[in-house]
Order: sequence, then structure tokens, then C-alpha cells
Amino acid sequence: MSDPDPIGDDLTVPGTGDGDPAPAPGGGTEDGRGSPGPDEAELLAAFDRLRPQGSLQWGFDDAMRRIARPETGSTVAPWDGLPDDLWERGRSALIGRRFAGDVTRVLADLLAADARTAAAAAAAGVNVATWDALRYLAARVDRLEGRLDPARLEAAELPTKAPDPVDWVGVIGSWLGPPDSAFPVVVGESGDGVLVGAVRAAGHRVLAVEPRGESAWASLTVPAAGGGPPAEVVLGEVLDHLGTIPDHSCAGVVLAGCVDRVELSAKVGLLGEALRVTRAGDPVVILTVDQSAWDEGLSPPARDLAPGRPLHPETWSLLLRRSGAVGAAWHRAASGTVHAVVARAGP
Amino acid sequence: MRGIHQFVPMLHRHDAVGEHSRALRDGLHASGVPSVIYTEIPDPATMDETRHYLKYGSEAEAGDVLVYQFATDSEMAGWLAARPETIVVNYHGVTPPEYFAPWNNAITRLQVGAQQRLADLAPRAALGIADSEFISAELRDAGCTNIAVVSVAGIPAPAEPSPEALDRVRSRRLGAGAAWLSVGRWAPNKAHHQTLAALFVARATADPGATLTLVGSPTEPAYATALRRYAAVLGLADAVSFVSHVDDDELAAHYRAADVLVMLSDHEGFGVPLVEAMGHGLPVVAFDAGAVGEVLGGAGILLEEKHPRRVAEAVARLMAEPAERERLVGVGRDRLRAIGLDQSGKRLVEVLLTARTRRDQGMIQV
Repeated sequence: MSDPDPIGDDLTVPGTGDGDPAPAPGGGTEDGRGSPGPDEAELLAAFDRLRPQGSLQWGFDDAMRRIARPETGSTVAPWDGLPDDLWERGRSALIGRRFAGDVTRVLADLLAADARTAAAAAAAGVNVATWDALRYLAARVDRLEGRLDPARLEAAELPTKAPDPVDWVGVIGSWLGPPDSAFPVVVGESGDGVLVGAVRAAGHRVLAVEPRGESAWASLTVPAAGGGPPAEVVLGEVLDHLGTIPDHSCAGVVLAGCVDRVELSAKVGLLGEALRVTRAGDPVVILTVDQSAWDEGLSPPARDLAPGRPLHPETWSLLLRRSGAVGAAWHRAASGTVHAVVARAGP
Repeated sequence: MRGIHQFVPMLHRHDAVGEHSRALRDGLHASGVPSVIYTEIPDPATMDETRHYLKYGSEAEAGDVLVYQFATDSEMAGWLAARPETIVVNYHGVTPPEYFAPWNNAITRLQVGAQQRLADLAPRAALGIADSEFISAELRDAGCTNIAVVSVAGIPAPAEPSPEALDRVRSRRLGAGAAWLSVGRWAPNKAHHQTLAALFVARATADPGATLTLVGSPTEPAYATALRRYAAVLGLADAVSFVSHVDDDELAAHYRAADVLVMLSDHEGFGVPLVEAMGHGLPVVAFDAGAVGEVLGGAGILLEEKHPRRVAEAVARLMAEPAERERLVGVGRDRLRAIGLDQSGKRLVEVLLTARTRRDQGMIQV
């Protein structure tokens, strides 16, 4: 297969081969490779987090793919016939016994082969049934998941109005403990950044989470006022991101926006995650829109399609207590429409 | 009568490898060479022009040359490797499996299998034909020693779109800013998500009215779903169109209605949209990966990195400098002539006939 005169050398098509190398880029080449800025990196990382690998759905689909259809063909070798030396064995008195022995062996092989075939067929039937059951189960799970969120809208497509935290900007720092750079405060959703600024002003390192690309980008690209380290901004859903934070590694969690629009199980999930990541004794703050003011702040699509609605502050207090928080207290909205419920992570 | 026959896992219409195979068959017929296309899996749309590959055994003639159109995994590759005839591998590139790993384990395994098939078959091939210098290196690495580089055949010459198609596409324009176009399968190696990120930055900075049309098909459904979700997360749902199942007329209309083709693929064996854009006078902003730089050859802005801001800036510069746009379009026309796609079918036939002659003269061992 070797050729001293490689045929490829003289058979290149004009412009793409050795005979006519591609011209140097004349249209302008952007020089220099390097890392994207942190804003661009987060923008791209947000897409990577949409990859299915690692999710329950991915794991299930992958397991389904790995269930190969069972081998239904027989692996039994065919009978190879009478022994070649049959006639050489002679017609002695022993021949009958010897021949009978051969026949018995052949019959035994055939019976064993039949048994193996029958067993394989039975196993195949069981595997096919298992496979069918799993497929039906997968279809049912898909259908149930579809009912949970039939519109499949992203937060950015559901323009719920960000709660106005005007009443709490000045006091939120007093609910937090002494700053410790090793323990950030999570603010999600970070929205226009007012709450982030207030927490930073209290000296805390902030981890901001925002599901709307435009708001996240604004937070990433506009330098925050007040000095100190810039907030780390994550473009994504608060519940998803809380799940990536280690236990008891935060000096507090401030939840706003998401707590109003998500459905009940996600609300409870947010509480559970917030209390899990918060150090014992540090605060979990819930800023929730007054129920009577909720509809007025919504666009018609959000009013129709938002899966959840605000809970009453007393309900939040109840859920916080049930989740293991201590000292839940309702701070009524003074001038605005946003209540605060503050509790401390239990031991 | 001995022939030059092709083996294609599946023969589809409006598919790059499918049209390439049909063009090569037609070219061989025009040269008086018997040529049949054998497939592993029949496509109802092309069944009347193919035969199942296992039938070849009873139809073989001494001196046949068998051309395998290699773009994916197929049992035919192993079957061909065991045939006594002269084997030619016409290689169109295999997307590296790592691109699919986070998305689809089945396709990942398929791509791993394809790489293994290539390693098995390439050393057995008397000749390899690659679409570009870039993928000829993959063929060489797999053990093929004789390689010719010939561009894909069967790409139709750029035709004017019908006025109706052009009106239809223009009427669906989503904004007053630059109209970005991206053409290609919605698969992870095509990196359409990076085009979305760049569009987002462009709208947040220089061009709030910029829009993007993604013409393609959801090769990897999970990736396609993530693209739509990402567009929504970025607030681009009203600025991005996902368009599939277009015919040649509508595709031409998309090229004519756009302001720029943005191509940020990580792995391209050739890059058909590049030459289509050249043919339609559409300037290109592309990431320098795979065969892109080789095919583009100066007929566009070639990016050595594709951070969203950098891409957005390149498009903005292109839009702000009409003279530069015109220059690039002119370079593109020249480049298209230099590539000579209309001659590719003829070149392929020449290469195969030359290989057969050399084989007959004992210059190539099989």
C-alpha cells in the first residue's frame, strides 16, 4: 500500500492543496489569543450549565441507551454429525455399545442445545419486557414533568417585575453578622443590583445570582459603587446555583423575586437550600411582594403564566420554622410593597 | 465491465455527502465508467438509485475500484476492509466525539466507532481523498499514505432566489440592525451558542437592533433545545430565528437577505456555508478552526479567538465600513473561482481514473 510517489501530492484541487496553498488571510486577522473577560466567561458558562450531562434526565436517558436489546440468536453450535471413524470401529460385539455411546453423547448435546436455546429465549423475553416497562416509565415521567411546567418559559421570558427593596436597603446590613471574606452572602435574584450594593456596603463579599441575561450582564459590566471586591455574578436560576454551594459556607442568603414567581415545591426547595448553605446563626432573608400588589406589577403574560404567586409573610415564617430556621420575624413594608421575613439558620 | 462503485452508509438528498456521491456517480457515468451507489440503510427518497451493499458480492467484477464515502460509523467499513478490491476512502471528516460527550452519549459512541473504523480502513486504502488539507491530516494520521485533496462536489452554483422567497425572508426580519446569518447543523461542534452570546453582546453594546437567523437542523436535539433556552435566558427570543427544512431557493434568500455570515465552528472539515456565502456576495466573520481558514482564504474576517465581544466588534466593524465589505465580497468571488467547486466532480473522476491506471500499472499496491 505504500507508494514512493504519493498520488496526493500532484492531485490537489486549486486553492486548497499543496499546488496552490491557501492565500494568507487578507481580510484581516484578529491577533492575539487570550481568555475572555469574566463577564464573557460567565455568559458562556451559563450555556454550559444547560448541558444535560449530570442531570437526572441525562442519567436516565443514558441508562436507557445502555440497555442493549438482548441477544436472541442461539449461540449453540450445530450438531456435527456422526463420527468420521464410525466404520473403522469394526462390527464387534462392542460396536453397539460404542455406537450407543456416540448416539447418547450426540443426543445429550442436542438436548443441552435445546435447553440453552429455550433458556436464552426465556431470558430474552424477560429482557424485552423489562425494556418495554422502562420505556413506558420514561414516557410517563416525561408526561408528568411536562405537566409541572407546560409553558417551559425561562425567567427572562416571564417579565415579572423585580421587587423594589427600598424599605430594606438601609437595614439589610444590620441583619447580617460581621463581614468575613471567606463566607460570602448570596443575593438572588440580584436584579438591578440595589441589594447587592447594600450588602457590599456592609462590607460583605457578595455572590449574586440572576436568571435574566440582560440584568446579569449589566451587573457584570457596570462597576459597582462603594468599593470593595466586585460582586461575583452568576447567570442562572437561584435554586440551581444554590445547589452547587457547599453546606454552611455562606454568611447569609437574601432571596427576592424568585421566591414570588416559582411554584410551591420550588419555594420550599429554595428555603431548604438557603438554610443548608448558611452558617448556623446567620440570616436567611426573604423579600416578598405583598399579595395585594402582586398582580399590579405583572405583565399580562406573567400574570397568566407565572407558575407561582407570593406567599403571605406568615406563611413564609411557618415554612422557615418547619425547615429548621429559628427566630423567624416578619418586617412589614413601610413605604413600599415588599415585606421582609428574616430568620436565622438553625444549628 | 469493471466499475468504480461507491459505498455510502445512507444516501440522502440535500445532504453534503449525498449530493457529493451523486455528483461523482454522474461524473463517472459521463466518463463511461459503470458506477453504482451501495448503501447500508436505504432512504426511501433515493432507494431507486441505490442497492444494498451486501448485493455487491454477487455483482463484483475483477478490477473494480470501491470508493467509501466516509463521514460516520458504519458496518460497511469493516466489510469493505475485508474485500479484495482496490479501496479508496473519500474522507469528509469525523466530528471528534468530545464535542458530543456532554450532550448525547449515543452519538459520542458512534463518533468513537467512526474513528476506530477510520483507523481500520485507512491503512487498507490504496488512495485517500480528503475534502481539505485540514482533514487530510486526520486521514494521514489514521494510516493512509496516498492522499489527494479535492473539494466536495455537488454543491450547486449560487442561484438567484425567487422574488417570492426573498420577500418572504425579508418580511420575517426581526429588527433594524445588522442581520446575522449562521448556517449549519445544530450540533455542539458548530458552536452556535457562541454566536448567540456574541449577538447578545452586540445588542448590549453597538447594535441593539441586531438579529440572528440560524438555518440548520437539530442534529443533536439536546443541543438544539439548549440553544433555544439560552436565547430565552439572554432575552433574545424576539431577535433570533431558528429555521429548518429550507429548500435551495429559501436558503439562497437567507444568504441574500443577511448582512453577514457568522461561523464560529470548532471543527469544520470543509465549511460549505463559507463557499455559499461567497457565491451570494455575503461577507463572512469566522473563527479560524479546522478547514475554515484554508477555505475562506482571505474572503472574510478570520478570528483567532471568538470571545463574544471580539466577534461583536468584528461584525460592527464590517457593518461600519462598506468599502471593506465590498472588498471582502470581491475577494470571495475570486476565492470561489480559485476553489473551482464546479470542477470538483471532474477532478474526483480524474483522480479515481488516475488511481485505477496506476493500480493497473502496478504503481499502487492494493
